[in-house]
This record gives sequence, structure tokens and C-alpha cells, in this order.
Amino acid sequence: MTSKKEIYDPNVEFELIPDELKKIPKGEPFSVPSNYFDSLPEIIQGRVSAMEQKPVRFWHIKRKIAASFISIVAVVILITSYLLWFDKNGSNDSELFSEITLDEMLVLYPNFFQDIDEDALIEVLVSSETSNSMTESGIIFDTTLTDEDIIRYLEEEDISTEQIVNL
Amino acid sequence: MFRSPESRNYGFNLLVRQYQQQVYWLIRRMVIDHDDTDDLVQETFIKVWNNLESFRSDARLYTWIFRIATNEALSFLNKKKRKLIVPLVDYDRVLSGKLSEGQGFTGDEIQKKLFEAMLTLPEKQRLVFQMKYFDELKYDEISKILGTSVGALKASFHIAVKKIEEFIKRS
Repeated sequence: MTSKKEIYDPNVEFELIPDELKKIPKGEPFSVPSNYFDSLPEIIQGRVSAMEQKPVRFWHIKRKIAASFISIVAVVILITSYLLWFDKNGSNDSELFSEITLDEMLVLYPNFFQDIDEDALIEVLVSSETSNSMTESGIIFDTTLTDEDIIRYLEEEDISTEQIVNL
Repeated sequence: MFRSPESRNYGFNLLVRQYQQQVYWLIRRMVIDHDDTDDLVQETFIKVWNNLESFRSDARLYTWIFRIATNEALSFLNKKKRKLIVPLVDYDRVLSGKLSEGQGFTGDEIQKKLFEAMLTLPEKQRLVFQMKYFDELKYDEISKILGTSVGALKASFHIAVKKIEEFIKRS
């Protein structure tokens, strides 16, 4: 069992050295080569001077330049490939969807029409039909034309308003 | 003195002369072998030189140098331990063997026993013991060197003394 005085108390200073240890001479019990401490400062100073005088080698600079060049190239490649990939993917999507027929779409997404808002669908169909028929017939709407321009054109072409109404 | 480049070399030379023996003995007691100690002392002062500009003048110079020296000694011992092919063999036993072979050991039998007892201690405990016992540093100084609280150091020293006392009594 541990006796009471063996228990460590941080508030008590434990600087008392036991008698067994006090008897031991405190001198350094190792030998050192003669004049070691006389020559050590010179040896260290020599190493420091050699370190300081070491010229900056060309390959050190070359390596630094190469490292920065490689990182710049890597960044450029990354950005370019990202842009290319993004662009390619964007055009692929439209091409891909234009190639899909309605039947294929229904096979892939059976709930395709259920998920679409009916009003929005009608609006899109009407607008696409109008634009399709206009481009197919070759009619070009010129918003700068005034009523006077139209009347002048009709007179020049000798077209009566009755003819237009009966069309 | 170390701030101006002109006086830097001169100041560093003085610094080495001032602290070389303390640094040497601190490391020698840890690694036992002279050649290893020599390498580590040189490395310590090279690191001191390389980091002189980062030295905070509010800290005490020798606690900073001792901190570098203890780190060098501890990392050397850790490297040696990792390099041992048979992990069951403790590097402290290798050091104890060097001591028994008498490699540069000039002390008497009781001093040998003390060092053998010290080699049974964990490294940090050994450092605390030798800084207190041999170098007679104060706890707050050791605390700055080892980065450990004064309370923990007192406990560590107390345990180390008990272990050494028992080891000497046993043998």
C-alpha cells in the first residue's frame, strides 16, 4: 500500500533530494576530446560561413521558374478544359433533345405530359406554330412600316382593299 | 547585437562560446555518445543561426537555445528508435550498453548507477531530472524550455527521483 507521504501533492515543493542521490558527485562523468570546446566555435562558424557563401545555383532558379510555369500551364489547361467541356455539354444537350422523338420521350418519361403545366404547353405550341409558319412562308414583319407606307404600296401594286378582305 | 549584419557573426561566435558547454552536456547526458553529441550540438547552433531573426527578444536567449537543443536530442532518439530492426530492443538499452562498455565514461561506480537509472526513465522525465539535478534550472525556466506546466514538471521530477532512488537501492 502507498504510504501517505508518497502521494503526490502539487502544492508541496519536491526539491528535496534523497540522501542516496546527494552522495553522488555532480560532475560530468564523460570524457571529451582535448581542446574540443576551443575548436567547436570555429567549426560552427566555418559551417555557417560556408552556408552563407554558397552561391545560388542556376538550377535552383531554373527549378523555381519551372515550378511557376508548370502551375500556370496547369491552371490554363484546367480553365480551358472546363470551358470546352461546358460548351460541348451545352450544345450536346440541345442536339440530343432535338433528336429525341415524342414516342422515345414517352418511353423514357411515361409521366412526361402529366408533369407539364397545360397552359404553359399551349402557349409554347401556339408561339412556335406562329413563328414556324411565318418563317416557312417567308413573311418578314417590318415594324418600321407605317399605314401610309402600306397604302402607298397597295396603290403602286394596284391592289384594292376589297381584294384583301376577300382573301 | 544580432540585428545588424556586421555584428551578427561576432555576436554568434560569442553566443557559441557562452553556451556550447551547457548545450553539449545537456545533449551528451541524453545520447551518451560523443560523436552523436557533437553532430547534435553543431546542428543546434546552425538552427540558432538560421533562426536568429525570428528570436523574440522578450524571451531569454538560453531558454530558446536549450529548447532547440532538447528538440534536437529528442528527435535524434526517436529516429534511432524507429531505425532499430528489432523493435523489441529498446534504444535506452543500447545507450545503457554504451555506458557499460565505458565509451568515454570516466565516472565512478555510483555515477554509472545514476546514469543507468536515468536511462530507465522516459525521455522527457529524464530531461526534467537532469535540468533540475545537474543544470540546477528553476521550474519556470524548465517550463519555458519544455513547454510543460510547472505543476507537471514538479510531479515529473518527484517521480523521477523516486524511480532513481529505488533503482540505486535495488542495485
